[in-house]
Parts: sequence; structure tokens; C-alpha cells
Amino acid sequence: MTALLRAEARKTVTTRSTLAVVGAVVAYPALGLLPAVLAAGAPAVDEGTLLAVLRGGADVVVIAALLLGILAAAGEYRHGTIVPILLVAPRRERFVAAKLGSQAALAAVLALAVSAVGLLAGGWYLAGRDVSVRVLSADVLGTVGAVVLVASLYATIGAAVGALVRNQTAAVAGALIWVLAVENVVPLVLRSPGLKRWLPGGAVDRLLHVADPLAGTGGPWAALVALAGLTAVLAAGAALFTRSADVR
Amino acid sequence: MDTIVVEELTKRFGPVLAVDRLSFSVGTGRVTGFLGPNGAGKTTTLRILLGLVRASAGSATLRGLPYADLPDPARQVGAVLEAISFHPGRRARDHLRILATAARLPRARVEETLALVGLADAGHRRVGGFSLGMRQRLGLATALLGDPEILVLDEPTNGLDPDGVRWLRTLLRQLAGEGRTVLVSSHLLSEVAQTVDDVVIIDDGRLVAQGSLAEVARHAARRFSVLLRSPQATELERVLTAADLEVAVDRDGALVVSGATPDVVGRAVAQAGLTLYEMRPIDHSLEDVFLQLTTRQGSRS
Repeated sequence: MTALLRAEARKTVTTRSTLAVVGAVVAYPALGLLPAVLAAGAPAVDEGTLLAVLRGGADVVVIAALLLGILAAAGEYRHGTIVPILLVAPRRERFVAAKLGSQAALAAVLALAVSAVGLLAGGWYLAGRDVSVRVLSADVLGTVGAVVLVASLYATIGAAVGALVRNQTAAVAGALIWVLAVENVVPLVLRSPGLKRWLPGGAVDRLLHVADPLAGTGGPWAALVALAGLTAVLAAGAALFTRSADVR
Repeated sequence: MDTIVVEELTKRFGPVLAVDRLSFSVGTGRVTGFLGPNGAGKTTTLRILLGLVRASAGSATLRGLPYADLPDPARQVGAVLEAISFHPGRRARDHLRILATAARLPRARVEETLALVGLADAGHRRVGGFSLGMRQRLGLATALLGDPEILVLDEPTNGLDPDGVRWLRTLLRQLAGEGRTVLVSSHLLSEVAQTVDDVVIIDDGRLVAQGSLAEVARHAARRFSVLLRSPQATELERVLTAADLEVAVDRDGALVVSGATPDVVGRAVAQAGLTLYEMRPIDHSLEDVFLQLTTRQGSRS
């Protein structure tokens, strides 16, 4: 299992496309988010600006983690690399566990890196305006922890979806449609606005925006249970499907 | 002793019967050609053997075990199934390092196998820029990474130029000379005839022939036609036709009897008391034999 995890890590660092996505996401807080947060009208910058930067970065990290997970799993089928790796590791559930675990770890590192860049950029900006900032406040650390957690869960979901769908284009398109449209439309169609809180995106909102009125009932722990439950179901489904399905 | 044993193997893909109660075995230390026309079921059989596809019925084992149950499979079996099993953006050396890491193989094996397949100078290049022949060589490097005792190669000559084909023949003979078992598939008998000791020929998912190359050629040739020369050709043709044998007259006036062995033809001739100047199995080329074996029912163009 350790060998498979190391092999998966090596896969990540030996493809330019993955590194390019990671680089763009890490640079996002400094290059794009901070100016956007300020332009959005926070006339009185304060410590809350820092949290806004972190949460804004999390939105990008979560989508990136989801897509990287899909690309990592479905890409094995797209490029045919599933064949040599399964010949080396024919017990497929181990391969799936390594794939999902490595993507979760990559997402955690990515979330930490994005948060660090956000804190550095935000801290530097606020310090330049004589705003007193406690970078290691409980709110900041809690938000960073939540970002790492949801990014890891979303990466696991992405890898599981990639393993289940196998068709990379279909999996990416489906995931984007879900995130950008379905999660917003379904509660409206069903006339049940509260439903959104229990969908993945709503759960992320509850975990990251703990003071947001949208959080509603249940709180972050219930959101975490909902998101972790969905992740566990998809991961188990990916393992069972990969174990039994033909590789043609 | 047999290293690879396939017994009553059957695979259905929906309504399509890809492999139909196929049984054969591959001896240790032999190079065996796994032959059949395109669509005969070769790749499906190999994928079942390697644990990538589940059999509908029957079994396929290596050293008595299904592939998934082999301890440390990369050190026991090396396989090349297709030339596209690479991420195009990854360097050749990285591709091998990933597999070596997953299989807990020494890192030195990466450079050794790159050199063995003639890609020592191309290890730093991304696979997307490789020719098909270079990908085949990289696939072979992948198969040889664990220095395995058994090699399973699916159409490994695809994309190789004549020098590459010659190089592959030499390599496979060398590997077999070291006591390894090699199973190599092809849809052209002529491609592997100079390399293999034994052949397994399938068509429509079923076994058509198995044995040493010489045995199969001899058996098939005898089975399919016998040439006769006689001063009583007209009478001979009537006698053989009356015995329900298929007879044709070739350009030189000789009779060619199809679908009968020389002993059957000889008895019919002796009973009729006719004179023969010559009677011999027709010397088919190997490719003729292969085509006859795999187009018996006229179902293929």
C-alpha cells in the first residue's frame, strides 16, 4: 500500500498538466482573489478580510481538488495506464484506496499552500494599511483546517467519480454541471431551499462560513458528517465497481 | 511442465461470444505463438489470463494460480497488451519509475530495461513524441522491468520496422534461451514463424490447433490435401469421387484430393487396383496452413 501511494505521488509530479493546475490554484489568492475581495467593496478592511480571502481561495481549491481527482482516476482509463498499474497491483481495491488517498493528500497540501499564500498576501496587504492582524487566530486556524478538510473530501469524491464513470470528459462535464447548476436548481425545483444545506456544496458552505446565516440548522459538524458520508459511499462504490468491472 | 493453463475458458460480452470453451497450455521455457485472425478472441483471452477481464466460465492460470493471486506478480509475469498504455505528457523514464515504485523494484532496473530495449537515450523524452515502434519498445521495457519468468505479449510487432522485428525475434529467442516462458500473439503466422517453438491457433474464440510449429504444419497439410499422379487419372478421379472424396485436377494434370489423409486415399487407390506414379501431401506454406485452419467454414473474407 505504501509503495502504491508513493507511485501515485510520483504520477502527480511527473505530469505537466497537473503541476500547471496546482501552480495556478496556489497563485490564485495573491493574483486574483485579494484584489477581487477588495474591489467587491470592503471599505473598512479588517481581520475579516483575511477570512474572506481564505474562504474565497477555498472555493477554487475545492473545485480544483474535485477536477484533479477526476482527472487522476479517469485519466488512467483515458491513457490506458490502468493496464500496467493493475498488472503490478492486481488487487484492485488497494489501487483504488491508493488513488483516493493520494488525491486526498494532494488536495490537503494544495489547500495548505493556497491558505498560506492567502495569509501571506492578505497579511501583507492589511499590515501595509496599519490593520492589526492576528494571523494565527482561532478563526483563521479553524478556517484553514476546514479548507484542508473539504478539499481532501472533494478530491476523494472526484477520484471516486472518475473511477466510477471512467470517461474523463463525461466525468468532468458532469461534475461541473453538478457544481455550477444542479446544486442550485434542484432545491428550487423541489421547492425545498433547505435541501441545499445537505448537498455537497451546501455542506462546504456550512463548514467554511460558520457565521453565515445560510448555515442554518445543523451546524458544521452535521455538514461534515453529510459530506464525509457521501464521500464514503462514493469511495466504496468506486472500490466495488473497479474490483468487478472488466478493463478492456 | 505447463506454465500457463487455460481450461474451458468462455467469455461473453452481452450477446457476443468472444471466447468459447477454449483450452490450451503453454510449456515452460518455450516461445508459443498465440495465433488467430483479428477478432478471434486472442486479446480477450490474454486479458482474462492477466486478470483484467473476468471469465464467464472456465479458468486461466499462471503457475497454477489466477493472476490476481500471484505473489509479487511483476517479478513473475511481464505483459504488453497495447502500445498506448502511457500518459503522453510523462517521460519514458518516469513511466518506468512509477511502475518500479509500485512493484518495489530496484530503481536500477529502470535504466537497465531502457538500455535493453534500445531506449537508453530516449528516457528523458515525453512519450507523446514517441513513434509507435518506440512505444512498443517502451512497452517491452515495462514488461521486462521485474525480470519476469513469464512474458505475455499481444501483437508486439505492430509498429516495428523490419529492423525492430528482427531485434524482437532475437530478444524473444534470447529470453526463451534463459528458460523463460513466452506467449506472443499475432494475427500473422509468418510474423512469428521464425520465433516460436509452439503454436496455439484459435478462430471465433475456439481452439483450432495446438502443438509444435512443425506438428501443426504437418498435420494440417496432411489433413487438407494429397497430390496424386497416375497414368489412369480419369479412372482414379471416378474412384475417388465415388468414395466421397473431393477431387480437383491441377494445371499439370495431377489430382488434388482435399479433406483426406494419404492413408485414406492410398486405400481407395489400392482397392481399385490403379497405378500411381506419385502420392504426397501437398507442401503448404505455413501461411496457407494458417489460413486454411482459420477459414475452414468460409465465414471470413
